[in-house]
Amino acid sequence: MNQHILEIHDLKRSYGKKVALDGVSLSVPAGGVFGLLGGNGAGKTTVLRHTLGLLAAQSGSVRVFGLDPVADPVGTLARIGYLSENRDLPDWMRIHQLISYSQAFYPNWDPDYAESLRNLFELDPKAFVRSLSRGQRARAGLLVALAHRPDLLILDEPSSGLDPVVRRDILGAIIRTIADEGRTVLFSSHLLDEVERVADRIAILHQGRIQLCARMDQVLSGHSRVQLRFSSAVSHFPPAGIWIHSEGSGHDWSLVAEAGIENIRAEVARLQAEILSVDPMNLDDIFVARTAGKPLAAGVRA
Amino acid sequence: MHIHISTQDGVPIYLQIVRQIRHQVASGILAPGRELPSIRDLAEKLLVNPNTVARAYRELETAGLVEKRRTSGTYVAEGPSPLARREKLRVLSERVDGLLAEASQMQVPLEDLVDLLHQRARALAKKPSLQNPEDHAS
Amino acid sequence: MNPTSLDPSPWIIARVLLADMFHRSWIILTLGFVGALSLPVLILGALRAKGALIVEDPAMILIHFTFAQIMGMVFGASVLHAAGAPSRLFTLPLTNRTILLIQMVPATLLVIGQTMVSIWIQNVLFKLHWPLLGNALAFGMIFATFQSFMTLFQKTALMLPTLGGALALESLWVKSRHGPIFSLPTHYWTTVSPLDWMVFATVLALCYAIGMHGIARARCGNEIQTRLLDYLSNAISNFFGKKPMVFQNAVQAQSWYEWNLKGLVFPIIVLMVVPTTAVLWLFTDNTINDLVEALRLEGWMMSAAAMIGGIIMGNMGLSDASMAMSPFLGTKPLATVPWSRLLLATAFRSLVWGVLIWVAVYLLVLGGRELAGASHMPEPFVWWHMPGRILAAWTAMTFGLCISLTGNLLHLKILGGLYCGWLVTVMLVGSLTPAWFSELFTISTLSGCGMVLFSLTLWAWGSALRRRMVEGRHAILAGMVVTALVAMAGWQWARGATPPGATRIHHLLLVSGVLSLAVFPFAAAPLALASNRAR
Repeated sequence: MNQHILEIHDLKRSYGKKVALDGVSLSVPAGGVFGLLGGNGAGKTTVLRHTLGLLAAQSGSVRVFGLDPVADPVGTLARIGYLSENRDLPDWMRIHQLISYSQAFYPNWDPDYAESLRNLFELDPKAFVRSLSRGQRARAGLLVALAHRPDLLILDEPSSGLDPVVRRDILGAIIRTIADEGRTVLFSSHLLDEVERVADRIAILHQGRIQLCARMDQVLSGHSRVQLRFSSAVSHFPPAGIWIHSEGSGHDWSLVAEAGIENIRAEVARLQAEILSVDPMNLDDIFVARTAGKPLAAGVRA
Repeated sequence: MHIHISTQDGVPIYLQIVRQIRHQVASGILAPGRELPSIRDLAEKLLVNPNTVARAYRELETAGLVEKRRTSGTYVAEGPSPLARREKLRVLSERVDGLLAEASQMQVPLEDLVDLLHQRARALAKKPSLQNPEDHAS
Repeated sequence: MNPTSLDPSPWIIARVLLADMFHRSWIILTLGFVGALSLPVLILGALRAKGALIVEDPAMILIHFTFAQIMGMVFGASVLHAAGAPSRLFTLPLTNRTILLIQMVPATLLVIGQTMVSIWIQNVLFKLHWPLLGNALAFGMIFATFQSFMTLFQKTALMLPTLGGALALESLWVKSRHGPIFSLPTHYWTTVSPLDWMVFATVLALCYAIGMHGIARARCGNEIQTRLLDYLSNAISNFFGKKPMVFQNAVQAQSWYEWNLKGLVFPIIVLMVVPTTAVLWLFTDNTINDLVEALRLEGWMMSAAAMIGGIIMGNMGLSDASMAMSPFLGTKPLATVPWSRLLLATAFRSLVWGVLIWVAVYLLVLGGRELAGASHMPEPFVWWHMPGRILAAWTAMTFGLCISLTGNLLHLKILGGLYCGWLVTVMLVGSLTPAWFSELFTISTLSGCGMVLFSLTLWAWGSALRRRMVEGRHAILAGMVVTALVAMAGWQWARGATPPGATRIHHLLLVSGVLSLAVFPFAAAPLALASNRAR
């Protein structure tokens, strides 16, 4: 399976003077779950909107299923299920109207599946969308995004602001979607716990650039936190080479390394320091190390 | 089958599944011949990526702890295969290492620790079954 | 605990909030002010150009009275928009009284001030002697009533009958200041008597009490009890909403969406305007010919309502403030061209309903006139007036639709700004230069505008052809339609209804520009939708 569902090449976007995307390149392979990580305002939604053809590339290119989503909205959107960040469903519709309305757009719509999802999510067909709670609204949005069994499911911040029960529904939907052969899920999130659970691959987006894009297990095994003791006090240790983050002062420093243990040993020996400990890192720590702005050097702080 | 997934300590999820199933097989909670849940069911139950569960099952299969039967599912391997035995010892030595480290930190001599082991074994033998082991191996 | 002790410094907060209101809404307030002034100034200017502006004419009293009402309504709407909902202040450390006063006092003062300034401008421009104070205070009072009822009833079903009743009483009283109630106004309201002041004070005090009651209740989230009405409206929507719907295709589904959400706006505006006319007529003049006249005028005024309907129909966003296409719609797999066509079809359907309502009422009145045995028609029947009105409404509606379909609020602002700027310039030129020059200026700018509209249509068709959104044969058809329309307009002039020869070319340019807009949307709607979809 070398085919890529989504290929973004050198995508740039600015709103006035504010640069939202600064040369993003990304390939999402078919099958599996791709997690797009980033803080608030990192550009996640902007990337997803380009994928959906809601934004036209100012420079660079976007291909979904090999098609340009702006030139061929029908060819791409018919195979995509989308749950937007704001769950902007029309308030004035009833659930059964929302379902019939959405059904008309998708030739592959499965009415039985839609009905079973509606029962599972306990959505009253006569209820108005405006009367739904936040969680029910997310479920209704999820139903509409799933019932045509899309080849690509795009979820923008699917579980932000939702209770654990609804979040379970959403994660379950992601898992069911890829358990069906060949389907792909692309979702953005800043809830790293759920990303770590379900994503095969992740990309970390920070200030409009991709900081890291790799398989989940490589990300976890490729980063370590190293506690060091220098033989002579160091006032300033900027991250460079294998070190991507540093904090500490004097003799004791805590560094984040992107390298295997042999490389770390070699590098530490070169620095004439002693390793106190090497610990694995969870995604949270890796994310912070990757995206925390310019680390404040101890010498400056002191 | 109860498995607890934590994303706090940086241990890859597939490894957490492998370790916990190993423990449960080694401690007899999962009896030989017992069927494991399907990849999809376990993934939905644990809310983890099915590929992760598949990878864990593959590792367990290579280690000889479980076996895939054609057309049905995945089962805990029958009989104490040499591989499984080696696996048990491997799991236990991980735990013993942790215990020894902790004992030396508390400055409890090895002899006292051995005595304690015997004492606990006698006490546990009186109870009907082992308690569900939680994974703190790391 | 004394609640005022929680009020740190109401004056400072009020000042900040007011500054914020002007900062946020100065555009809408300016537009409201110029917009309110535009109709009186244009009509008075036209009257003066024809030499029909006679200050002593008793008909001027009615004109004054009507203008004051129109200006009050237009500017009042923009003030209401600027003032915003009181609920945004509920979490601030302010007493109910402070909130109410912040909401009502500046808004009421604005309305009073605007009426006085507008009448004064008309006095200066057209050398009139219209009184400033009476109507200004009256509209302040009416506006305060409106605002206090809004606060109390909050768009529930109870608001319409109660507010309608209160406003009717107040309007009748204002009418009585200008002469007997059931007749044309006979004199200006030149002096505000002590009794009048007392009426103002009483009504304002009542408004205060109603507003306080409303805020006190709304602030702690108590819903007003409208159980019977809620039950009825629920029953009605259940009756209509239960029908199982099956759509054959995406176009059908989206047509249902557009019509249900926005299609009824224009027919409803027409439905509301027609009875209002009848009521106004009842209180001014009971001759049936005047009602026929009023409805005829309304037929032309339908274009303005159609423009509003079109702007609303073209809004694919989540609210009036954000018109960019919502992701919910943007991610529907429906191609741009069929989508834009179904939008135009919905607009047409909406137009047909609105026109049918108007035609029905018009025919009813004409029939009534026959029964009453009225002798001569005030104006001879002209065959092309009816299709002309429909065409004008179609043009205005689809032009508004295409502008708002781009999803860019800036386009609407530019359009409104150009209109206001043009109006102010015409006003200035009209008051500062000789009559012949000001007339030349007006007609030149209008014909320039016609040329711009014509070029805009050409550009849209060129672009749409290049992007394969329309076909060559469509373009040929469109060209033929515009040629035919312009030829017909030219033929009308040739038969006599011609303006003086010197400006004929100007008129031709203006008319062909406006008529070309009839085919503008077929090319512009897909372009606008495409640009809204992928920004």
